[in-house]
Amino acid sequence: MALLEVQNLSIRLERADESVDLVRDVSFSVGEGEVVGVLGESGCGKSLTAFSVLGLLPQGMKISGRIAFDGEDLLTLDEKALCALRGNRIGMIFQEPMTALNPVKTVGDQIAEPLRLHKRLGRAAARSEARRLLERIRLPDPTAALDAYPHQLSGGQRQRVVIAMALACRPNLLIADEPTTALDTTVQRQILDLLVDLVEETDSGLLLITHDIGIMAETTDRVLVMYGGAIVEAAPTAALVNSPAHPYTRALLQATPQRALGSDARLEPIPGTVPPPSSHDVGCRFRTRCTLATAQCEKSPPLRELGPGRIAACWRLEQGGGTAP
Amino acid sequence: MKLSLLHRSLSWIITLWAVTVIAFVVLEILPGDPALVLLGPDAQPDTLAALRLQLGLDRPAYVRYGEWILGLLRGDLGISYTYDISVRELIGSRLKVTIPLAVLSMALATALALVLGIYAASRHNKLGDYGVMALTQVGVAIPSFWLGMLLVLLFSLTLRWFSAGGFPGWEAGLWPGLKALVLPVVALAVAQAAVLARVVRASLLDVLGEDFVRTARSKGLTRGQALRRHALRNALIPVVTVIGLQFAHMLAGTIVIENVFSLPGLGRLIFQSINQRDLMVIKNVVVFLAAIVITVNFIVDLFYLAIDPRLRQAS
Ligand SMILES: Nc1ncnc2c1ncn2[C@@H]1O[C@H](COP(=O)(O)OP(=O)(O)O)[C@@H](O)[C@H]1O
Ligand SMILES: [Mg+2]
Repeated sequence: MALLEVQNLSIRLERADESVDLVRDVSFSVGEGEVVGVLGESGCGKSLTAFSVLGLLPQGMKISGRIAFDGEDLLTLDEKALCALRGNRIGMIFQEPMTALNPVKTVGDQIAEPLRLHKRLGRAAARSEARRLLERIRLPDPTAALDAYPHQLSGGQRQRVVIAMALACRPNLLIADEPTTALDTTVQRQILDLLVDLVEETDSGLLLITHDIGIMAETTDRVLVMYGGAIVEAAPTAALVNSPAHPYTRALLQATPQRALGSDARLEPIPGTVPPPSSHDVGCRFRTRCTLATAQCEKSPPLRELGPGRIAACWRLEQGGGTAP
Repeated sequence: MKLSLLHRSLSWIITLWAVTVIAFVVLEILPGDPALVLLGPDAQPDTLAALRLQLGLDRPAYVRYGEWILGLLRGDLGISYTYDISVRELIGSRLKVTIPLAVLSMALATALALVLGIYAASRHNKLGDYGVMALTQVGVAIPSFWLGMLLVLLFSLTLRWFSAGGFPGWEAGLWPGLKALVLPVVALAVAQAAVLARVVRASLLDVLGEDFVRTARSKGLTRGQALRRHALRNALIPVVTVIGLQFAHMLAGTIVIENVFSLPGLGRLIFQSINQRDLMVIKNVVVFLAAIVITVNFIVDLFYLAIDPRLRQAS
């Protein structure tokens, strides 16, 4: 049994006048010591999927399906039990390091907080543990950083602090929602290396959300590709990069600077944009931007098994599926 | 921080100086002849002349202004014509009523506003929130003098728990003094509490939507813990601003409330001196009230620095 098992997860936004389908029928798992990537453009439902694991969806969203963590269905747990898991056995790193930290509390207090809450450490013990964590995430001058406020740190340093906070209680599962998107490229590298090292060290599972294929290719074991709130393809990372099956995955690969993937094909951005959830209908959601779309795509394509650990949802996989771009 | 304190002190002095100029111009130059203002249109010419001489009105305005300012700096505010005691003593004795009245009202208003605002924000869009909002709507709409009269009707005339007005003086003891202030404090505080509760609620709701609150929740804090430990302090920044503004309002409110409850405070003093055209008192009380308001704003600035480390750094 995997550490995290998500089955048929759907998220709907229920308003008085309408009900919008934000995430539909998403299933995946993350094992111990495994790094699973979630790939997709902005607005494809990646963050909502992550928030739902923590039970921190915005108000007004209805969730269905099953999210099992260590065999326990999180959707049936009460708030108290969820609080005991959050920050303790499941850690979360957010997209935006500039706003993820409380501006009026010191870095030391913010890192010590989960330790005091979950591990019942005293003030002094929590502080020295926070110092040790800051050392571990390789922040220069960790003692001074304990008493610093977030605005005194750079973006990269703040993200390291957020990582230290998420790792403080040695969680079994770490969810990182685009942890490096807001940072410049050299810092991105360092942060990701650090993250992967730390996860390997503690043998925890990592769910790494990104829209950057370069990052995905280098750090993950398996990848889920999401589009319009649903999984359109899932595969081991090497297989996905070498022979993407879904037209959307192929389009994403073609839109990526190829240096990152070790080839030199031409860069082709995907025309059009992700459709808003309010436009979701029964058809394949990518068909409006897909070069292979036919009348058949007006119906929703099922996820089909393509090989060991490989699935994709497209009516036209045979027409060019499984070949390199 | 040092530079900014210097900057703020300078602006404190300049503002206060501007107030003295305005008070002097409005009260002593614009009316033409202050002696005429004092004695009224029916005064005899020789009485007028005598008063002019007594007040030194025969000398040029800039000399009179200069003397007034020098007196202020030395703490010598002159003699009141109507009370015939030094204005300084007069203001001093009145402050013993007005300062406790204003400070207690503000404290009560702040405490009520925090309780109601936090409760409403934590029940956002639920029954409790709607209840508090309705309550504050009513509170904002009630004029303090009218509420004061209602309180007197109920608690003094019907229940006989408090006296209907007057002040025994602090010499009579702490409790009798405080007891005389209970109804006026409540009358003044209710409207301010209602306004402030709305500010607390709105500010908290704003902050509760921020990313760092979600981070706090992801660390395992309950909704309530995240509110108290992370959102509240950030939400206080606009609240403190409004408290500073309200304090000025509150001082203005004491003029009305001290009259409703016949309290011998600064507000009643200014009301009476205007009636009696006691220029010496009016002009000094105006400067004094302005000094209090400016000082409160100065303290508000210090609160900002205490709440928000980003400001400490920037200044
Ligand atoms: N609080 C919210 N209220 C309404 N719609 C939302 C909210 N949060 C996200 N959405 C919508 O849900 C969809 C998926 O969002 P998200 O999971 O943030 O995408 P991603 O992380 O892949 O960029 C988007 O279309 C977004 O507009
Ligand atoms: Mg996102």
